[in-house]
Amino acid sequence: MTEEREHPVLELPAFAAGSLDSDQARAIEAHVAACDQCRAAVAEWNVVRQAVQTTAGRVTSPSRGVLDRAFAKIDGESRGSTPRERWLPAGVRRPVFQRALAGFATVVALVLALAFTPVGSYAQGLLEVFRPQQFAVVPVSIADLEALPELEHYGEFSQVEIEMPRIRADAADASAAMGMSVLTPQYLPAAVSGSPTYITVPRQSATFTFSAAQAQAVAQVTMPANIDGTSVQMTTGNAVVAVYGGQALLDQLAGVPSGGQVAPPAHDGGPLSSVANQIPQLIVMKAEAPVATITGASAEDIREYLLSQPGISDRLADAVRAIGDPTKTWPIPVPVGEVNTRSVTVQGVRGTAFSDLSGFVAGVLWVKNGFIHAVGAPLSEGEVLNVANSLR
Amino acid sequence: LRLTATNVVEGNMQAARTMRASLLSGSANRREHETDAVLLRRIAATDRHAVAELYARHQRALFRYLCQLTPDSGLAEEILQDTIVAAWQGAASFEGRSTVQTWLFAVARRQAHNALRRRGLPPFADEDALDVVVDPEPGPEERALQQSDVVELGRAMSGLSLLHREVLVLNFLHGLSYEEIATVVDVPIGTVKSRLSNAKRALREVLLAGSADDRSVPHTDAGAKGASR
Repeated sequence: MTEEREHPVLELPAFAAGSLDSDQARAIEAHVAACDQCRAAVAEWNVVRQAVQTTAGRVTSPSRGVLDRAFAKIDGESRGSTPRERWLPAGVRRPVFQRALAGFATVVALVLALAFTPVGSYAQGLLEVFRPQQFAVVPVSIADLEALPELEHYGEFSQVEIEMPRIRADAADASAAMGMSVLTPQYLPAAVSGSPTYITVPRQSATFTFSAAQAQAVAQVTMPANIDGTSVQMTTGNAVVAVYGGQALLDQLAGVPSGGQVAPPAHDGGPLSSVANQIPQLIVMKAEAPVATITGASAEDIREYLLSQPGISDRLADAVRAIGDPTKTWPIPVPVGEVNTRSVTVQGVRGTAFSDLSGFVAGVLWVKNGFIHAVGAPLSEGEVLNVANSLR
Repeated sequence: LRLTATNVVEGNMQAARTMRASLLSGSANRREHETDAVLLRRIAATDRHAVAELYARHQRALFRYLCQLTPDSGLAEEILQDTIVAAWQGAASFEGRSTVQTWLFAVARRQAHNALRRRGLPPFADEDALDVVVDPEPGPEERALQQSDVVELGRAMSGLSLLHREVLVLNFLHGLSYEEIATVVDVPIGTVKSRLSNAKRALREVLLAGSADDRSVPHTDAGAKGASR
C-alpha cells in the first residue's frame, strides 16, 4: 500500500476527530494543505464526524437509580441496608445513631430534595404553570413508598439539563453566582460554630413525556389518550445552601479523607465526636421557586390518572387530593411515625416545622417573596425557629 | 402520586449523589483533583464514594457508548449497571496500561457482549468480512459525502453494522486514539484503521440505498439486529 505511505488516508479519521498528538497532527495538516485528494477526504470525514456527533451525542444521561441498583447488586440484593444508609459514611452507620439519623435524613431530604435535584420538582410537575406559595404535609407510610410505581414506567425524561452544585468562597460569591441576596442568621445557637460553607445549586430542568406505549409495555397498564403524549416541563430555581460544620462529611463527599480541614467537633470525646464531625450543625437554604408547565392534559387529569395507578393506597390518594389547589400548594411527603410536623409562623409568614420523634433534629420550611427558604439542624424546633427568624 | 413521595426520598439519595459529585468538581479549586487512577485504587480498597465519583465522571460517556451497542436505552442502563459492578470487582486488576476511561469502555463492552448473548440478541458477531481492507478512497462512481448529507447520514448510522457504528462513535464522539480504540475493541490497530475506512464506505452505501429506495433507514432495533448477522 504505497498509497498509504504517500497519503495518510488511514490517519485522516483521527485527524478529523482531533485525537492525534500535536506532532502527528501538524504533519498531516501540512500534507493536507498541499494535497487536494486528502483535503477532500478530510472534508468527508468532517461530515461523518458531524453526523456521528449529532446522532450519537443526542443521548442524554442514564436515568437516576443506575448507581443505586448497581450497589444493590454488589450487596447481593441484601435487604440489610437501605440505599440511604449505604451512602452514609461508615462511622455513621452504627445502629446507635441510625434512628436519630433517619429522622435527620428525612429533614435534610426535604431541604436537599428541593434544592439539589430536579426530582423534587417532578412531584409538582403535575401542575399547569405554577409557582408554589405554600406547603402541605402528606403523611406517607414506608409501605406506601415501597409500593409506589416507577415514574419512568409511564414515560420518558428528555432534555434533562443538570448543572452541578459548586462550593463558593463566601456568601458574596454565592450571591453573585446565583443572582440573589443570601440571608445570614443573626443568631446562632451555642452548638453551631465556625463559618459556613456556601454551596450554589444552579437551575435544573427536565421534561417528562407520558407514553401510553411505555406504560403498556413496562407497567402493563393502559393510559388514556389525553394523557398519552402530555409533557411536563420542569425547572427548578437557583439555590444557595449554607452548611455549618459537618466538615468531615463535606470532605468525605468531596472524596477527601477526613483529617484535612476538619472543623472543631461540637462535642468532646466519645463516639459522638466522629458523628458530630459528619453531621452539619446547621443548614440554611434559599431557592427560587420551581416552575412547571404542562402541554396536553390538565393537571387534574394527570393527578387523577397517577393516583389511580396500582401501588397508590386509597389513603394516600385521598391525602393528595385533600391538598386543594395544586398550582399553589406543594405536597411534602412525611413518613408516618418518623417525623412530627406543625404549622408555624416564621419571618411573618406561614411555614411548616418538622422534627423527628426523638427531638434530635428539626427543620422549618417557608415561602416568602417567591423564594423557598429552609433551615434544618440537629437542634430543638425552638432553636431552629430562632435561627430562621434571625435571617436577614 | 408517587412523584411526590418517592421522589423526595429518591431525591434525597440522588441529591446526596449529585451534591457529592459536584462538591468534587466544586472543590477542585480548593484541593488537588484526584485522578481516575487514584479513584480506581480507592475502589479496589472498597471505597464506595470513589465509585460514585468515578461514575459521575464517566456515566455519560459510557451510556452514550452503550446506547450504540444496544437496541434500547433500558438495556444500555442495565449494562451500565453491570459495568459498575464489574469495575468494582475488577478495580484491583487495573494495571495502568491504558487510561481508566479506556479500561472502563473495555469493561462496558464485555458486559454488553455478555448481556446481548444472554438475551439471545446477536452480540458482536465475528464480522471478519467487515474488516477486509478495501480501497479507502471513493471510486469515480461514488459521490463525495457533503455537508448537506449530515442529517441523512445521522439517520443512516442506525443502518450500519454494530462494529462499524462502534468504531465511528469511539473515534468521533469519544475522541479515543486508534490505540485506545484497539484496546477497547480488542483488535490490532490496523484493524481499527481499516474498519473506520470501511465504516465510512458502509455509511455511504446505506445513504445511497436509502435514497434509492426513497425511504428512511430502518429503526435502530432493526439496524442493530441486522448489523451483526
